[in-house]
Amino acid sequence: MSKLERDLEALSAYLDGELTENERERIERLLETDQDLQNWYEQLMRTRSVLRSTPQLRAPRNYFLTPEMVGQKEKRGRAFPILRFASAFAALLLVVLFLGDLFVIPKPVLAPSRAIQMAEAVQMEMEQPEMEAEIFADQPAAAPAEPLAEEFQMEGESAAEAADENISSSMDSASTMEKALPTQYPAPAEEVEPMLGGAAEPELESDQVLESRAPTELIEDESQQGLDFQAIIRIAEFGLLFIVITTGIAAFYLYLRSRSF
Amino acid sequence: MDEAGLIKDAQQGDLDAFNRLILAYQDRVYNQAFRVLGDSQSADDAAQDAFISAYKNLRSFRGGSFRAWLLRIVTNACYDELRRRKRRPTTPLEPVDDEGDEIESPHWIADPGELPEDNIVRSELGDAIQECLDRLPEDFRVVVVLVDVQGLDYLEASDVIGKPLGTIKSRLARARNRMRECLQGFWELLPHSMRLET
Repeated sequence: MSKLERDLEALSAYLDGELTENERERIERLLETDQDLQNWYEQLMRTRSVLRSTPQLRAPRNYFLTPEMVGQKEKRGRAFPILRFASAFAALLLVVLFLGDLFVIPKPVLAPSRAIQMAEAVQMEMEQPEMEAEIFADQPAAAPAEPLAEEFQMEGESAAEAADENISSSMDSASTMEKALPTQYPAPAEEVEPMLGGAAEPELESDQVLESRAPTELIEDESQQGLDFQAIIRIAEFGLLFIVITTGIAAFYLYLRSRSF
Repeated sequence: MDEAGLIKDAQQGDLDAFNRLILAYQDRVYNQAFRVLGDSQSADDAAQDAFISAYKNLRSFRGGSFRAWLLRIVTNACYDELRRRKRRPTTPLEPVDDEGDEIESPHWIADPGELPEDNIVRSELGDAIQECLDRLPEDFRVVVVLVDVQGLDYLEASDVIGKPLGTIKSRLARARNRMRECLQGFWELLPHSMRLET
C-alpha cells in the first residue's frame, strides 16, 4: 500500500471519527499543509453526504411470516392431525350418545312394567266381585291361605304396607280367617301378623298377589335388561370421554412443542 | 417497542412477536438488499428469505445489536444471490424505445406518486447512486452500504460481514474513492447544499 493510499484510508476513517488519537493528530497536521489532501477530503465529505442522502425505500410489502413459511406445521408431526381428528370425532360421538341417552333412548326399566301393572290392576278391579264370592265360598277350608301367606312373607314390606291399609276395612273377614288359621298352620311371627291379617282378607289377597307377582318378575327381568343396557351406555360414554381427553391433551402437547422449536 | 421482550418471546416460538420485529426492520432490511443487489425483485426475495432464516436461527442470537444481526443475515442472502447470478448469468429485460435503443431510466422504475420536481430530482439522484453502487466490487459495495447508507459504525459493520476493523477501513476508503469518481458525472443532480458542503 502506497503512502497516498494509506493517507486516503486514514482520511476516510478520520471523517468517521474512527482513528486513534495519534492518527487523528497526524492527519490534521497533513490537512493543514497538504492542499491536494485537503481537496480530496472535501470531495470525500461530499461523497459521503450524497451516500447518506440515498433515498430510503419502503419495503414493497410486509414480510410477515406464517407458521407454514417457517415449517411449524410440519414440526407437529404426522400424529397431530390424527390426534386432533380422533379427539374431535370422539367428542362428537360423546355428545350424540349423551343426548340420545338423555332424550331418545327409552327407559326399559320402568315404562313397560308400569303399563303391565296398571293393566292388571284394572283387570283385577273388574274381576273383584267374582273372586270375593269364590273366596267366601271356600272360606271354611281355608286352604288357599297357605300359599298366599307364603307369598306374602316373601313379598316383604310392600305387601305388609298394603295389608296394613286394608286391615281396618276388613276386620270381619280377618276374624274369620284367624279362627281358621291356627288349626292348620303354626302361629306366624309378630311382624307377619298384619300381613296374614291382610292376606286373610280375600280382596286384599287377590289384589296383592296378582298385582305384584307376575309384574314383579317382569320388573326384575326388565330391570336387569335395562341395567345392562344402561351400563353399556355408561361404559361407552366414559370410554369416549377418556379418548377425548387423552387425544386432546396429546394434540395440544404437539401443538405447543411445534411453536417452541 | 420492547425489542428485547419481543426477541425473547420470538425465541420461544412466538411468531406474532417476531412479526412485530419484522414490521420494525423490514424497510431497513429491504434497503440493504436492494442497494447490494440492485433490483427490486431480487431484493424482495432476499428480504423474505432473510426473515425466514432469522426466525429459524433466532436462538443463535446472543444479544447485542439486533439490527446488525439482521443485516448480517440479509447480507449473506445477498451474497448467495450474487453467487447464483455468477453461476447462471441472465440478461435483464430492459425496455427499448421506438428506435430500439435501450431506455436508461424507464418510467416504470419511478414511483408514480412522485410528481413534484424535487421528488423527481431525488429519484434521479437515487438512480445515479444505485448505478455507481452497482459498479463497485461486491465486497466494497456491501461495506459502503452498511456504513454510509445504513449508518452502522465500523465495529457493527465488522460484526456484520465478519471481517476485522482494518478490512472495513480499507474497503470503505476504496469504495468511497470509486463512488467519488463515479458520481463526478452526476454532480448536477446534487442539491445545492451538498455541492457547497465542506
